[in-house]
Order: sequence, then structure tokens, then C-alpha cells
Amino acid sequence: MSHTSSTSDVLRNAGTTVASDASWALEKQFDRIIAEHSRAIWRLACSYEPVAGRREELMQDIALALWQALPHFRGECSERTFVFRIAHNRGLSHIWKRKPAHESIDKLPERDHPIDERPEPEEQAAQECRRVALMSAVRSLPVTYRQMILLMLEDLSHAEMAEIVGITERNVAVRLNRARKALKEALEGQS
Amino acid sequence: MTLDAELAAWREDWHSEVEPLPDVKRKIRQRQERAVAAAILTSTCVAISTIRAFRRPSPFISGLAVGLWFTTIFVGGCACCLRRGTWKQCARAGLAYAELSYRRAVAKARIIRLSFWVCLGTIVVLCIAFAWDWKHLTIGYGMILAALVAEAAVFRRCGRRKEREIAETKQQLDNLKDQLATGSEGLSLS
Repeated sequence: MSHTSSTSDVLRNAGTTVASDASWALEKQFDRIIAEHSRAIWRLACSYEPVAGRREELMQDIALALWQALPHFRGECSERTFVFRIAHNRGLSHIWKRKPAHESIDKLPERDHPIDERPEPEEQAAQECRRVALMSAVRSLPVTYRQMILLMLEDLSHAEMAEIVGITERNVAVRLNRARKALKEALEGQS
Repeated sequence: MTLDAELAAWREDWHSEVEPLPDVKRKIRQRQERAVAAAILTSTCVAISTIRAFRRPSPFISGLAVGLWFTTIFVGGCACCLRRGTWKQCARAGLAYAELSYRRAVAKARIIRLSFWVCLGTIVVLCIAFAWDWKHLTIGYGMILAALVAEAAVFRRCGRRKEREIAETKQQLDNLKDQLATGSEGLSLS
């Protein structure tokens, strides 16, 4: 009897250890993914949501969706494809659920640090202006073009884009070409 | 400027942002805490009512305990049934994700509607019980009744919001289907 109970205790302890090890490994993987892709996710959130407060909410939603989907990730695609697909899907859901904006849309990003903390402040300021103009032009694009432009700017291959958006590589090339033209027009329209 | 140089310039500008990043784990922690709190609250209510029903058996307390057990199991079971087919991960592409989003929104709306009617039913039953015998209407039970009324109002509001979300998701789904059918880049998804 005591032998049976000690065996079941050992099995229970082993089960608990395996479960806690798996959850620890998952948390480590999540932390690593966030560390590697958080900048790209933030840029994506910026392009989907112009209002600063809601942008942070979208970032939180993307992180939550990643956390929930990570246990189901079976490595059928690259980790980057997985992250971008979830982030884009969450961005789409965000647009579908979006309420009309009551806050003013920020044309320039809020800064709590000086712009010239790096060398060549004039060049930095000029680049910041170009970045804001680019972001504004990207936001003005329809969602399917916006998705392609975002993926292109994040340096993803056509195959990865096709996997993320769910279209063929040939369609990616066509849509990307049109999206680039639309972006160029939007940028020219600003200047 | 050649196209590649143009793309390189765009990429350089795009990657030049240095905004500080928010704490991305806040919502994950909130969701976990909320799930634990809901489980503890439900278990506590069911356990207290069951213990009281066993210690001081009376038709009212026994009815309350049975009602709580029934509601927990019935609503939980119905929620599982309604969510069938929406448990899939969200790492899907394009149309598949739009369809999944639509199914999820519909399932959530049904669960909210069911919860509203169960809540309303409970309020009616409690009101009849209190009308039958006013001596049971203590401050504690009055507060439970008030909480149920507030909960019903919240469910009603959430239900209306979810209906709007369903309409929006359906429209986007139809747009996506049209685009795929015509092969056009009409793109009304903005």
C-alpha cells in the first residue's frame, strides 16, 4: 500500500515538474520573442492605430494573442511569420472593433527625451520628419496595401508575406507593386 | 532614384523610431488575475451556499444552493457548446481569420444573451421567493439582488456592443470574399 502511494507521489511530482518546466520554457520563449520582435510589433501597432493611448492597448492585445497562441505553435512556419501573422490579425480585429476617436490624432509622436541625444541632431530631426511622414502615408493606405507595405518595410521575403497574408507569391508581387505606387502617391500628396 | 534605393531609404526611415516601448505583459497579467478571481468567486459562492444548505436546511437556502449549482453547470456547459469551432488559434491568414473572428463574435454574443436571460430568470425567481416570504429579505440578499440587476444591465450593454462588432466583422468578411471572388484590389477595408 505504502509502495503504491509512494509511486503515485513520485508520478504526481514528476507530472508537476514536467508541467512547470513546460510553462517555464513557454515563458522564456515568449520573453525571447517579445525581446526580438517588440520594436517591429510596436511599429505595426503605430501603423494600425494613430491614437497614442489606444496604440498601447493594441500592443497589449498583440502580446496577449501571442501568449495565447504560443502553446499551439508547432513550428510549421518560421517564428517571425507566426509573430507577424498574429500581429496583423490582431491589428485587423482592432480596426473592426474600433470606436470613433474622441482624442485628437497625434501628427507628431510624443517625446519625453531630447531629439538630439545622438550625434548630428539636424540629420536626426530631418529623419524623424521623414519617418512621421512615412508613417502617416502608410496609415492613409487601405488595410490590404498597408499590410504589404509593413511587411516589405520589415524586410520580409515574398514567401513569408504570402504565408502571413494567405495569398500566393505571385499575388504578393502584384499587390506589393500596387501598394508601393499607392504609398509613393500618398507621400507625394503630403509634400 | 532607383526603386531599390527608394526602398532602402524608406526602410532606414522606418527603422529610425526610438519611442520607448510600453510594458507588454500588463494585459496578460490582468487576464490571468481576472480568471483566477472569477474561479475563486464562483467556487466561494457555490461552496458557502452548499455548506449553509447542509448546516441550516431550509427551502430558501437549499433552493439557492441548487440554483447556484445549476446555473454554474448550465451556463458553463452552454458556453462550451456555443464556443465549439472557435477554439482554434488565431495564427491564421486572411479569409480564414476573418471567418474565425466572425464565428467568435457570434459565439460571444450568444453567451452574453444566454447569461442575460439566466440573470433575468434568477432575478424573477428571487423576487417571487422574497414576495412569498419577506423575512428572508435581509441586507445580504438585497445586495445579491441589486448585484444581479446590475449584472443584467452590464450583459445588456455588452450584448449591444457585440451586435455592432458582429455587423462590422460580417461586413469585412463579405468585403474580403468579394475581393477574392473578383480578384480586385477594391480594398474597402480601411
